[in-house]
Amino acid sequence: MVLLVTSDNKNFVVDREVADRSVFVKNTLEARGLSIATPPMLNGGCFELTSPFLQVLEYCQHHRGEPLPTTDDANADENRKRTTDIGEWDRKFITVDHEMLFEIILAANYLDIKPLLDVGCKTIGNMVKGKSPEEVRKLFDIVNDFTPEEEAQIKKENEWAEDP
Amino acid sequence: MIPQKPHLCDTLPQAKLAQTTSEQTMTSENLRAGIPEDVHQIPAPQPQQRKLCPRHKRMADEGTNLKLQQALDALPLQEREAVNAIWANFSASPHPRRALILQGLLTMCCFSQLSLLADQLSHIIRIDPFSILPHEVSLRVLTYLDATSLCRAAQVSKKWRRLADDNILWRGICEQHIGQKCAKCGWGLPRLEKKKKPFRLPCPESPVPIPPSSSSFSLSVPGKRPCDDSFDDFEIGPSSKRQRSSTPPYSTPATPGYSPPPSPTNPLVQPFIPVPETRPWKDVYCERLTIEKNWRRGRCTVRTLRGHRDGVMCLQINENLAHPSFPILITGSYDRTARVWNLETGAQIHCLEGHTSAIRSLQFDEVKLVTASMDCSIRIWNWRMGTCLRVLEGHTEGVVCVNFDEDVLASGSVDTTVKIWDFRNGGKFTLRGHTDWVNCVQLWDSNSGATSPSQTPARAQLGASPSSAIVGLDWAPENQSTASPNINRGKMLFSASDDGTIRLWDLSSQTCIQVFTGHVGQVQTLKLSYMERLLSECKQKASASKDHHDLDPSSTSFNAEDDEPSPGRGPVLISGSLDNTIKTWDISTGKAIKTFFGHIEGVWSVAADRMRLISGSHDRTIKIWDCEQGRCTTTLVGHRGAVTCLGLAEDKIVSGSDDGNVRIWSFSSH
Repeated sequence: MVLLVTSDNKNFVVDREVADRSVFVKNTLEARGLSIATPPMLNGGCFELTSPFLQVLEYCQHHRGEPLPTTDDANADENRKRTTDIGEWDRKFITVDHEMLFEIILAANYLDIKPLLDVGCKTIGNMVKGKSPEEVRKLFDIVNDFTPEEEAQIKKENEWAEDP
Repeated sequence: MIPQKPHLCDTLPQAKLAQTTSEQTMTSENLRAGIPEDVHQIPAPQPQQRKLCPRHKRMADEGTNLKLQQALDALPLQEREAVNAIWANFSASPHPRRALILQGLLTMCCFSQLSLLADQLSHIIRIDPFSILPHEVSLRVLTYLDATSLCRAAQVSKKWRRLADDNILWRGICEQHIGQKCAKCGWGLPRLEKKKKPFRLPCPESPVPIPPSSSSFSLSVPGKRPCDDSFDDFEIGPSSKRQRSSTPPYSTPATPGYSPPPSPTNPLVQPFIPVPETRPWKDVYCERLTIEKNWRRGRCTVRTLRGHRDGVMCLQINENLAHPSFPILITGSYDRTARVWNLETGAQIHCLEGHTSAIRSLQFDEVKLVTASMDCSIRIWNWRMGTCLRVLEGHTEGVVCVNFDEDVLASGSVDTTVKIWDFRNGGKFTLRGHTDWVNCVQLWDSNSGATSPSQTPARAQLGASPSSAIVGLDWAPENQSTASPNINRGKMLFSASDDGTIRLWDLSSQTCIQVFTGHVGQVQTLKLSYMERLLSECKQKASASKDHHDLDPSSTSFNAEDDEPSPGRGPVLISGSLDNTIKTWDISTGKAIKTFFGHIEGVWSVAADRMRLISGSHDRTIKIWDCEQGRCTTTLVGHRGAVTCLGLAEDKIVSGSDDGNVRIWSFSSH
């Protein structure tokens, strides 16, 4: 068992096998030979810490024991790029609101849980795919900070991609 | 970007209670109230070091609070105090207490308030992911986008544009598509290898003074397409991004390494001038995509080369010669001449005369050119100098086709035989089996899995010193030959005949091991091709291919050891026939894979690369085919006679016709 402490001082006791899903935690544990990891400092902002972390733990529970991606898989990873299929369980798991999604991604990035990071990034990618610039702005409430001239220019620059 | 502590980004609880309210509420506590519609005091004295979270930053920027402020100010003082107390209280609460307060408020809400919440929430809960994710994670998200989505993403906002135009990102897209078909979208883009060639004119908008002495040079043709770079030598310069918009990254006279070309006494003698180039990968992708789209729509510009005085019967192009720097086209004609052209300018460089009848077939490499003529002879030329090195005689009637590789030369004739000439020791032998004209021969080294080097000129010692090697060889009549041909195991030959069959010969045993039947007319042309869809399998099986193709020479059945015939192995044989069809063949089984219908008269010529198959016909058209679906995507018309021969490059088709003309159909972006 491993005790994980988040930066807002919440304690989580989890199986070593679960904690090892995080390469960050795994390495920390291995380096120190201890069963206690110092707190993974999750990004706070005005976001809450605990619930994303609980989600991450749930993910790790579900995928416990699966082989971790090795660096050798870097090439295989290249091949997977733009293959945006997400497994059934993962897809349901990641169906959360934007804030939680982004928090999970941040946590996965920090804790170095690559498969989860992939799932999160793919999910955002899928949201953006096929949408017009205006639809993307609306989706994420983004302000169009181009001047009309700039906008026209950039539109022209990218016109070739629209041509079927 | 991300605030370190939750409360740091709480905005503006400057509940501007009327001046009359107790000033003590304006404590630092107030500064930390963070409820969504917090009020910002109008003068907005921003706390200096406070880092706002994206959402609160947005609100501060948009003056959301101003409206709230006004609404608050409109209230009677007492109510103002009450509202402010609630806000202040909430603001001072840590996250768990806030949650509890909200839960309580929710239970008190009626539907009208809930719908207000729902309405507001759907709007304000949205966050720009790239405002909170670290740069590398944002880029990771974008790696899952296709090119079109990336181009749209670049139009969302300045921040998105910086990310979506990232050079590394586009490099990934290029790697996925250029030189191969993308497994996901099915598009493959040209590699444009010839663009390794040194120097081209920069963009038209930056005119370069052209040295007068070089005016005949391909290099200096004004108005040519902006220079390209090869995929392989492409350099990624961190500064290359968006360079296009300011200064063209192309060579200009100031470019290091550029010097005016020397006086062109012989355009084939010309120094190689490497010019370093960098361009954004997005531009590279855009350019290649444009070419591919032109292919798919049959959009091209046509140039005609005139010179032959009778029908053009054969041609070959080579854009990848180490030297000279421009692509070379050689054509052979009924007018008994072979002509060497600068494919870029269309200028004729040499006219080779010597044959006394029509030239029906030719092939060239770095140095030598081999021509087959109806005068029963084969000639070997130094095409760079325009001189004939030697004449091979042996066929008793006209020679219709030739094909050579490093080791051997194969020729097919009206006399129904195929002759093999061994370059290495002067040995020679004859293959008999066809019952009519032999129209096409194609060597195939089944060990390497490669086609004969007509596409990829090998620099064998022959190529290096043709005169001594070839001229010195003595191909004695067969019965007197002392040298016995020594053909490597695995060397094969395909031959196509007017008898309607295609034969596969094992040259080491000099036996026919397979007959391909199916065409109902004379088979005029053959090509070996690695179709793109087969490529990955071929690679995987490269190691295993020896087992598959290292045939027992005594075996008469090619697939004796092959228990699982599959079209996905090794090259595909393509044939064109006067029965108006094109067929693809599984070499291992001898069975036709697919038949392409569409020409309304006989097919004289086919050509194929990894992306496409093209055919030229007696019906005067050229057709471009989608190999997988077996349907014609484009028909090119323009020749006034049968299209007898074809050359295929990544961005062009070169065709020769009975009308005596050569046409260059260019699909480059213009």
